[in-house]
Amino acid sequence: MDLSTQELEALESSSVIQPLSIGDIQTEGFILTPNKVEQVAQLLHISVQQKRPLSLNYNDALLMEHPLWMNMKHLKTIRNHRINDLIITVETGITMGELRQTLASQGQQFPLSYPDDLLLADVIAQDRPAAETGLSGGYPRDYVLGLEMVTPDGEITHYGGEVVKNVTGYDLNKFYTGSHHTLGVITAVTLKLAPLPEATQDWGFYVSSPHHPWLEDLLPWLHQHRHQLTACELFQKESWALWIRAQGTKNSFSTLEAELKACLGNPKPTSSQTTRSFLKRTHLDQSHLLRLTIPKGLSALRKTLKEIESLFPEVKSYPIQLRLAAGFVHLIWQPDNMPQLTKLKQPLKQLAKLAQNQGGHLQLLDFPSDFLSLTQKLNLPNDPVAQALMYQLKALYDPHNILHSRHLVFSSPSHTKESSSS
Amino acid sequence: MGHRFVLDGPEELIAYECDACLLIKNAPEIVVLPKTTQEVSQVVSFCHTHKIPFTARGAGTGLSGGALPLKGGVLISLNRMDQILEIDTENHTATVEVGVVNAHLNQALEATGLFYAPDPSSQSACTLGGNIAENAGGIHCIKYGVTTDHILALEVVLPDGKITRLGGKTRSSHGLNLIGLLVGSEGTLGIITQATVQLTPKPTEIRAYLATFSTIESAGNAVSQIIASGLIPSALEFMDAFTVKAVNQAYDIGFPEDSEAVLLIELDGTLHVVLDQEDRLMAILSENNAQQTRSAQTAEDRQAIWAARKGAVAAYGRFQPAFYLHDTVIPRSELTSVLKKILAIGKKHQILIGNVFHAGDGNLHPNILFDPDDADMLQRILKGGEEILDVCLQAGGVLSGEHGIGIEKSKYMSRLFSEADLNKMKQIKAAFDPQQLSNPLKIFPIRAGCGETHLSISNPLLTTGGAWI
Repeated sequence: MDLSTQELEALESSSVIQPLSIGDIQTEGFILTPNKVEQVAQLLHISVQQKRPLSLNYNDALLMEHPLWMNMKHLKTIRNHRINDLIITVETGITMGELRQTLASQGQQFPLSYPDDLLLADVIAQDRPAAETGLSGGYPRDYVLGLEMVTPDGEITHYGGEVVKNVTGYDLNKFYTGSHHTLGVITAVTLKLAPLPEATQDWGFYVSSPHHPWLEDLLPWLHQHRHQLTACELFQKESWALWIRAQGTKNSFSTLEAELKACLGNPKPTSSQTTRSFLKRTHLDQSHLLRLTIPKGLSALRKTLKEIESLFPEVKSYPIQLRLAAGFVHLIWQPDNMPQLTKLKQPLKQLAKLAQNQGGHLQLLDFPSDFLSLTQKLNLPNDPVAQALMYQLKALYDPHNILHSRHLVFSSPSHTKESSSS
Repeated sequence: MGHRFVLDGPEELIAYECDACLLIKNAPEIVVLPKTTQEVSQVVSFCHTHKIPFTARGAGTGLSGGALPLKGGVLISLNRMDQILEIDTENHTATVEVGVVNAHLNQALEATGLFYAPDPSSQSACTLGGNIAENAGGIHCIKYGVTTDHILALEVVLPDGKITRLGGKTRSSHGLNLIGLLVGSEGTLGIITQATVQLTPKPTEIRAYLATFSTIESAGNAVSQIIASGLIPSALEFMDAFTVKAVNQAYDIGFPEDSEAVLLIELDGTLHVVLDQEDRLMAILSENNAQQTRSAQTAEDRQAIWAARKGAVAAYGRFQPAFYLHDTVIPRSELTSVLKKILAIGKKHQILIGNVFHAGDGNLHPNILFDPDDADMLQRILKGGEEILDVCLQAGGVLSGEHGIGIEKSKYMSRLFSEADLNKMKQIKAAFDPQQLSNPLKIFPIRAGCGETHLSISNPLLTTGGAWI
């Protein structure tokens, strides 16, 4: 597909292509705001033709020289809502807040919860695990039934369908969800929904360290009730606190509460303000986040915790979050509590090794540009055959390595500020 | 590997000329039975060097011809790789070789309080490797998910013989999600030799129910309402009147025959949750005019109900010696209208169609019964089968929910996917397997002159008893 001058002018005059500025500073980049899927194809084509790196995430775009940042915010049409089937097909520029409101008006919900201002495109591209439904997995890929993706060669492709079970051809829904916008631009998805629950109940308790015996009783209880409990987060800042959320009917909560208190040995409840602050912490978007994925058993959790406490002695100055029963450990650094960067790299490597030995892995999310090489190393598997295969597939979709994400970095990041400055 | 584990006699090869889909038969030139991943790798490397096609096979229970060696070559039977390598009760995982039979894993888990959830009807015979290759489903996948939802790690021999290990003991993917791509790829991207699967805690309470309806419409509406209400039964199965009759005759199970449709429903969880769900379920069934509702009184009753359900297809054998079945999935709200159209197609072509399927998933299994010696009937069922497929696709359906495309449905792929969609899948295949040696001619439509001359097409649609749906 070759774009004529007139077509290019049309894109500029309709403000689809505009200069990108950061605050008052004009960059050498452009912001691309397509209004329809066909324009996504055209813009990808321009990017390929000019061999200019393109990112769908603003923060990622800022890491690049002469960036193109594609903002999907105008692509938010609800294409089909099969209300009785609990299925929706929607464009990915919709925010999670807008999606939530649309579905709530029909008594429905997307079962994973995210901050309202996050774009569906990013949730899908990152296969971003949610705080809620963390017990049963909580990955967007579990709810993606179909998708539309524009590939860098300008093709608009479709997979899956508006059905809940499907083995027709390769499962590209699973392959594309979580590809971090590096294979193409996911422009629409078909999602599996759930009815809004009759009631939701939150419990917050102060607890002793997870090294104490209460966790041994709690974990089997969580597994037993995993279909009713949608979240279980353990936080530490000054002290440890536990937040649990259940969905269902009101009359089922009293039994759950009694059992939970018995597991914890009559704990002290947290204030509602503390609970709200925990909830806010699960959505820290402007932070540098380390996600350690480990097996969900007690030993792995305790061993990891011990290692973290030894590798990061100042851990009490920033939040640590354990997503119990789903096997996530999050360490969250905010700019104001960020220790010296260089000090972090070695312990991170050691932690990655520990995670790998246990059958898990470490991911760095939203770290600054100094960490790109380490992110590249840690966020791809070590196995050289697997890694070569991933590079081969990336090259198949995006031979000029146009599509960039700092979560999933392919090849030497030649377009990035890190490499140009070095 | 040793001579014992290499078969090349014509009488030995004949056992490998097809799987449970007897549509097309073609014997391999040689069968090898490796015991280790290294041996699989050596065989595949040899094939890669000498440009010899190869096809992996588990128990041969597949229904779409996935394990059929369409281009001959080497058939790699994985049955000897049948070791359960680890059961990790603390982390709820099991690591297995792919020749392990699905039911054997659950037998090994009996005392742990855990189970492996995907339960295709063939679970007493099918292997986990076949389940993974086809992304198999089962009666309980409405609640617990299909095979792909339970795979944490894979060891794979790629088409050039290289071995790679993907994943670990968590569900988080590392880099691009190659596990998601490989599960359900029908052996066309490589040979999976080991897997780490996720285990699920057994529910403490399980209850099964049977509800009868005087019209298909009432049953279909009940299904829609159950789904829309947010109730997630662990099974929600449909049987039409003809199937009920066949099952009663075969197994003397005593399902009521004075109805047009029967729903078999199972709830599980903690006692408290099941009791709560039972109230809601009964209200929905009553609202949709269920004629009668029975619950299984004992675990034995419950097992008998599910045994009859799983044996329904064999029961059709009393009416005709063969059947032809589809595996389409439709939006669940379309169940009633599509079922009515399917029954009308049966009437129009004077063919017997039994419907027993996973209603909760919208996964239809119309079984078209026929006599393979009746040429006229054969033409009618072919025509009827095409019309059923059209009806399902027009309703927003897809070709397969759990059996895979294999060779049986590959010619229909262009009806669902554009050329660009199919090309992208073909490019992925080429990236993994540029010489097109790994299970060739599967999934994608075969162009004329691209291999059909190899095929010994016996009876074009013959599928006899012993199949599982």
